[in-house]
Amino acid sequence: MASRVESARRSVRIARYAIGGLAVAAFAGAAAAARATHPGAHSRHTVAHSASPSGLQPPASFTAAEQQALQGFSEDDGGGSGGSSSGGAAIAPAPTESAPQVQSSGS
Amino acid sequence: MTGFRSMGCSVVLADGMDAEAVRRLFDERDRRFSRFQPSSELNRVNAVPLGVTVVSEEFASMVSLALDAARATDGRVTPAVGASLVAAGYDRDFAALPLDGPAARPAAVPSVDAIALHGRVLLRSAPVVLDLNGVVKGRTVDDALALAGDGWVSAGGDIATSVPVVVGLPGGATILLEHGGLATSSTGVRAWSRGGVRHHHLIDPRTGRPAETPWRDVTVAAGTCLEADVLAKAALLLGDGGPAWLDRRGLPGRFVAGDGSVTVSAAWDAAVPERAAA
Repeated sequence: MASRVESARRSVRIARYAIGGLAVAAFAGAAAAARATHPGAHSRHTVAHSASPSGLQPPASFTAAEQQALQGFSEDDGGGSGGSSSGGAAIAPAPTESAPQVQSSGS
Repeated sequence: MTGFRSMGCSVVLADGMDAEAVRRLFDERDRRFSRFQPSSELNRVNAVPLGVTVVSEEFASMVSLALDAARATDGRVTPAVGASLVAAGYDRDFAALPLDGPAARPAAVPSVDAIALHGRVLLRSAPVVLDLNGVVKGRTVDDALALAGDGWVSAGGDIATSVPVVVGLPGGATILLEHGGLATSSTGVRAWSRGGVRHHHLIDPRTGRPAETPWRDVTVAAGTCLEADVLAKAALLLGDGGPAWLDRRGLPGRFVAGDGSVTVSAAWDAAVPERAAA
């Protein structure tokens, strides 16, 4: 009895993976066709965002400024950055004798 | 300064900010993206790591960020390291992690090209166990700052601020972060042993093992905490090439080696000469 149950479970698992595989193939084909015909085919991003149901600010893809900073990462060149020299942050020496308000100790 | 614990780290924020809203945000993100909460959406998605999965909008957004980060760092900071982290022994909340155990066998990190996202439809064309920690915390710090008003927010030392704040750095130095984000990636925290070999949580995607790098701590300043965190991880994973990689992009970074010696990028040195960061 146990082996029949196990056999049935195995069949279900196989069927699930088969369906999944077919879905992957169909999805990939449809996606490839859509990309090839889409006017924004060269865009690197495919996700649009809407408001979070929680009402909290939702995460979104990098902003234009973030993109500008991040897109330079993969350029393995020996020249300048093309971005801001500070990466968008402003850092300076701490005032003399000032104690840290917060620690960046690593994560 | 007020604080609480979430995402396995201490979250602190400046006085006068809406701490309760920030706590709700962190807890909500933790419930959705934690590897260590059985009911998290991440764990539901990872239960079947192959094929097509429909995810929530927020989950899709975070995957999109993670894919952006992976592409921007040539795959160094990738969301595909979930199985490698588990293989290295990081299989439960760090507070409950045995500090030693049997030898670990590395698990290869799948190419990020195996992950595609179309709206809320996530497609994995090869088995990929996701880990979104590379972006979730940094993004949540940025979102918390936007949510809670002027001030600063820090989670495990990754900071976003809209007001000047004095920040202590690894090794005892201090700087003034006037605005933007600052993050430190470290091999010195979240470390454990397996088979007598020291492991840490920063996986080198080329090997599937914890990265071998001369740097113990890498601190980067950027426009946002998310950027700073991704940059710091990538620079640490680059090893000896980290400072030059930041220099080529004009980005400020500070590297502390295992022996405590400090190297800074040109942009960091221009803003904070090391002799002044004391």
